[in-house]
Amino acid sequence: MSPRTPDRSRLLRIAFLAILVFSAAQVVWWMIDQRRLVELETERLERAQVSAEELAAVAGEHTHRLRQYAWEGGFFLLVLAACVAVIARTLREESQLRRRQQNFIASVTHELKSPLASLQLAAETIALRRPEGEKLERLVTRMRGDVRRLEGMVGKILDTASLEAGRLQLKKERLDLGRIADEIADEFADRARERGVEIVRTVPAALCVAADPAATRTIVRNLVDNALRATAAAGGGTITLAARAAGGEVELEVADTGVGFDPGEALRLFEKFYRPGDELRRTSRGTGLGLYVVRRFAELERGRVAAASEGPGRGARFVVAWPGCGEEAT
Amino acid sequence: MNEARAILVVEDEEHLAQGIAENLEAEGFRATIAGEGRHALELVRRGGFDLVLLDVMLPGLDGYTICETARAEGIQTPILFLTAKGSVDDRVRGLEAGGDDYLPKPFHLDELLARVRTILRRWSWYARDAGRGKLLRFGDNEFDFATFQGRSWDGTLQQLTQKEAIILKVLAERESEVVSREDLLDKAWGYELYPSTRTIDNFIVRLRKRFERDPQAPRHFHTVRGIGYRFTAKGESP
Repeated sequence: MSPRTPDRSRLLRIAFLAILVFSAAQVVWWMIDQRRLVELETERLERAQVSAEELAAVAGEHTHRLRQYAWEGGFFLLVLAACVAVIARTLREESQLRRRQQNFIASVTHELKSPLASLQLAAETIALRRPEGEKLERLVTRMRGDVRRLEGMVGKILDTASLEAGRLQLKKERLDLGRIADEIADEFADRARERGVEIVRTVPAALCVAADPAATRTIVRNLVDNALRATAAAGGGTITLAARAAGGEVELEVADTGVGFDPGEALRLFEKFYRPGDELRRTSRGTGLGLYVVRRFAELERGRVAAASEGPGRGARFVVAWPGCGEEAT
Repeated sequence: MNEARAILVVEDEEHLAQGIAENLEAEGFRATIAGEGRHALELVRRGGFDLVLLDVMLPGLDGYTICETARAEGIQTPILFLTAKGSVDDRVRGLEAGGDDYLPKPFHLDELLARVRTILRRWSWYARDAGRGKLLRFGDNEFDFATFQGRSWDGTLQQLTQKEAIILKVLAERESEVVSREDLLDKAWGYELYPSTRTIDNFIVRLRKRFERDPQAPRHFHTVRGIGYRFTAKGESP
């Protein structure tokens, strides 16, 4: 949506507020009118010289009716206010999602076009300058890195699409979490070294989780990728992979010494398209999909996720828990 | 020829920055890489570059802000935006921020090098006779091409943008001749970044507002219907 077009949800909110005020005014006016009618009726009965007992009986009935109107009117207003609150909340969420989608388009454009531009430049450099030896090797290494980055991006987009379509068939197998963590850490070793990041592994062997192998690898890969971006953006540091079994589940912790985040954002980090900060001035790149995929996969595996940081610049800790293999039989 | 030309490559994508820098060096330029916005602005302020290749999405400070800040501080180093943000709105924003050209990613190496050469050629033409202290005087106005500053007939200080200064220079060099809109567009932009030559008309309106006593009845910047513009230093009745 162009920033010049009026914000439809704001107009709708104003319309709902106007309806609420109008309805409240209607109810109040109706009650005043009823009261006036009651007073007129009482005056009429007094003039008609009705007996005091009859007058008292009629007055009692009127008071009862007025109370009843007050309750009904109040309840009606309450229901109306609740409806408006629900609608306003829905609209606000929708507008937040729309804003995030716009951010997503901006970041995904950058994330896809940058490696593409780098690939094209390397290919055209080879065609134009015919490099040999070390120069050629350097270009090919760069091209491999760009392809790997594109592969990762496309993978996240496809995972999100499968999750959204709800057609994902997850298998449940006995997996060695230590081995998977080792595989993923190896996958990232070169990239981490290039960026001055050390990956420390303290995952004990023979920690068994009952989960889908592909989904589990994606969860670990996305968490390490996220930690690597955050740590590289801080100019280097350490990523620590640790795990333990507790209370029937197995927890994997990916801690980093990277750029961290505001503790108030811990839950929102797992929302789709969520990216903290200004898209034009981002210190770390990403699409806002990686952690969303982690959360959704973990939920489908009957697991859970959590994130914590002591604040910007103070590193972060991401924990994901799966059911342990003991639950497999249940 | 390119020996002394220094180019600052502001790009946070390491592979791309290295690839661009290596190609520029292979063409005989000197390339410096900056991957962070604030550091890039510092380098631009320090000066010594003949051209800046500027990405938009940068950590620390975005490219538009770097360009706007540099221009507001009177830094006139040519800037070529090189960015993934390639919509018409983005291009216009980049040019309005004071950029000289805009190349969306992914780009062709040949095109990048051609644009770099065009901008540098345009600037060497501009700098050729723009020695400090050499003033253009017309009517009661004066303008210094080296500092982009001038004074209009009523004594008001006039700080021209690059494009305004280039257009003024083209017109002044060919004084009393009719210069077509296409010629002006070619000299000032080199590429057809704007859809129409009406852009030039807007710049002439701006120059008239700055230097003419009565912009509605110009004495120096004359319209030649259907063709372009003619500049007279002495001043002629419209």
